[in-house]
Amino acid sequence: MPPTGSASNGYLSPAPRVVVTGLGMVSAAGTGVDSAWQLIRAGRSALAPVSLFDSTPYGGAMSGEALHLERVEGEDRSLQLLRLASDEVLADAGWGDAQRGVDTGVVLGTCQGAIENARGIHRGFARRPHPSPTAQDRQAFAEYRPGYGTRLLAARVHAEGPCATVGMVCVSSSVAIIHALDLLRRGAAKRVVAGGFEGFSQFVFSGFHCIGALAAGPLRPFDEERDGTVLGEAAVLLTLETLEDAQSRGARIYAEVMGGGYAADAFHMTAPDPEGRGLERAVRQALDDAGLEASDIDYICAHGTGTVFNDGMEHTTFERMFAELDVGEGMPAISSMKSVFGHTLGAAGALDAVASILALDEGLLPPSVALQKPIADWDFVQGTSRDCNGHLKVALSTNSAFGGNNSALVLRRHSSAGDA
Amino acid sequence: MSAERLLVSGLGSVTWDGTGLEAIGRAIDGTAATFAVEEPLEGLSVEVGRIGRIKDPESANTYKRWGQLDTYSRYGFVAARVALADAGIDLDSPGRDQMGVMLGTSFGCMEENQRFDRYEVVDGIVKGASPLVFKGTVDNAPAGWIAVAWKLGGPNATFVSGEGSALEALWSAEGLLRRRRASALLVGGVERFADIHLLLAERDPQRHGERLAEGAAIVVLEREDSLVARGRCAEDAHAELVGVVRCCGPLDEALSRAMQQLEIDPKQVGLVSLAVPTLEQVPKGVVGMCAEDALVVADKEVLGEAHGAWGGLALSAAVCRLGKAGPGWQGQPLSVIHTFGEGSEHFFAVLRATGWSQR
Repeated sequence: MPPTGSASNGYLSPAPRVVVTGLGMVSAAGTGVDSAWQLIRAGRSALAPVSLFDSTPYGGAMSGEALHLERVEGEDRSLQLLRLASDEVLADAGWGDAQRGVDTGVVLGTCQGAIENARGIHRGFARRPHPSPTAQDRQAFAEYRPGYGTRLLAARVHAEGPCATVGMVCVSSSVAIIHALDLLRRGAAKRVVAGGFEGFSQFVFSGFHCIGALAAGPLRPFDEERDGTVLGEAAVLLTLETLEDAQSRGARIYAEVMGGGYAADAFHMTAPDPEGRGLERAVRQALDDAGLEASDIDYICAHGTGTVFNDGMEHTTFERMFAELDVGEGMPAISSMKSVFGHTLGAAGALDAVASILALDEGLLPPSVALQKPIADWDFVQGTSRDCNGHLKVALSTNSAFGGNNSALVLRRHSSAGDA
Repeated sequence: MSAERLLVSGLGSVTWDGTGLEAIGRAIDGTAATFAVEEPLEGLSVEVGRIGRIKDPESANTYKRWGQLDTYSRYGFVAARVALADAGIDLDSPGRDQMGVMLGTSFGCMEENQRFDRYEVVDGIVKGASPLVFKGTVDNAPAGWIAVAWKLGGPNATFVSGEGSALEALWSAEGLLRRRRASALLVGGVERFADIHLLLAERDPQRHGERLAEGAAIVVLEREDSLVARGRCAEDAHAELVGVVRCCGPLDEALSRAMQQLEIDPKQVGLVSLAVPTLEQVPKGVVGMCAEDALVVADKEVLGEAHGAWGGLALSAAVCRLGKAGPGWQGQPLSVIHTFGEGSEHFFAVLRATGWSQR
């Protein structure tokens, strides 16, 4: 039986509309959403040679490191990113004392969390006899637990309500946003900080290197000559609130979160299903959740990792989906943010969501940088951002991950609903 | 419109004393094997519910990639295999793209991370970075392997939200099923411990059991229409999930609010399973709240502290107690299973014995 006041689907009746009222981002573009958006608008990439360690043994690959970071001794890189992004999102949302308490939640996604400081304990306790644990070891381990960042942020926000962490690699933060949407629609919270964080690390870099997934040169999503991905880092946060609450406190509303979905490929642990059936199921769920049709989508912020397999899978999926649904005008405009920021893994879904939200808010389509020979005759956004003359209303943001996971988020420009 | 019933149509678990509900039953009855004693540091002895590198002939014989699975994934895989067999779902079952996997874990793939982190750069060459080990360095590895092996293409998610992870997954699964995003979901938790956990994991005596215990416990939660379409009926199921509620605050107050939210009469609750480490830590208010002879248990005392797997194990233990003293639980139709969430949050899952009338 659903909770009191709920419809049979578990949502409150009527289900509250959920909007985005604050954004925060730290990435290779710098600290702040504005710095990221300026780079996107200009069609420039923040990717640069790896600085954190000598990448020569790895073929001198590139990275999307936040080179501007002034490191704090002892603070894990990922947690530093998260702290800085939280400063921005809270200020941007205008949250204060009234937003504290049990009605406020936090849902984050991450792939490896505080892995930077874990190296010492990984290696120190790999073989017996073990050393006696030090206070530093215990602290590193406590921070390393995947949910630590979420608890840290909850304490910072004074959020005493739902507190959840999603560990699903590259779909972690998009599923976190979907989970936050669920919390709000089911009445478990009135406002949630959602998003993801990921620090650049030699650990993950070595992993992607050993499976041959790193690009030798620039990251070229959906390009015929794409040859792999470039790893980045970011913390990306959004404040989600009910439309009613946001309006009652006069908050700035960026966009409405219309729906989300996630589904498995059930094909392979590390390779995507070439037919993209899992991604298609996720997109169809998200559209159904949003009460929209494929023909309503104006823009797709695709996962677009730049690997042969991922981009090929997305190509096949979108072509089939939009052809079958007889969209008429063909594919919506499409681009990938990874060419700008690199692949930020656990933060990627939130980063793509924020890029989509800013695109909707400003009516500008963000471009794929370094795309020269597109793999399909689609409406790829290349070069610099493109003005949509007010026609950009609905965006679809998709992500896929190891484990065969896929996610889809549908976002709508707030003013387009006629209730700005 | 009334909500369609969600039924627990299958159960699977792996504990330090064996596979399946029988092992959980032995722990409850006090007839299980004793915990292992390990010495992760010289002079430091700890009791652990250790499964170790599980060898499951059934999985090995039926899944060609079994050898590739890391230990953490194997626990989840075996629990899922047992649960699916119990539910009568196999590779020939139709509609598997509407079936999914929702799991929780607290520490996830840390052991595989530690294994992968043995690589070195020597003389300008990266050595010891294993692609096979790297495959296991993701928290969603068990959910991924299960989906791949049984071709379950529905919703698939992994929560890494500490002790509440398994019931976080259940809370989410309930919503997905009620919104018809899936017909059936494997839901539960998985936890594997290495020395790094034995030595470094924090223990909060208010919420963590004394002895760490590895384990995985997964239930098949299924819509009644799906169960009927497969030729079964509600009475074939172990129990009905009435609902999952999340509440903040002191445990007894949170429990009271949870029952109000689910509109259930506390006097119909015959079993309360709390995630407190010992019975001495059960708040007094809980005991008087439920049926007069309701059983209040702290199963971590006998099953060990399984962190993110706890919610799944507690659900299985509740089913294990069905019918032991009269119909239902102590002659009552309902049981309440509790886990701590992150911070001050609590999760409560309420089960109803399927033999009872629905309303």
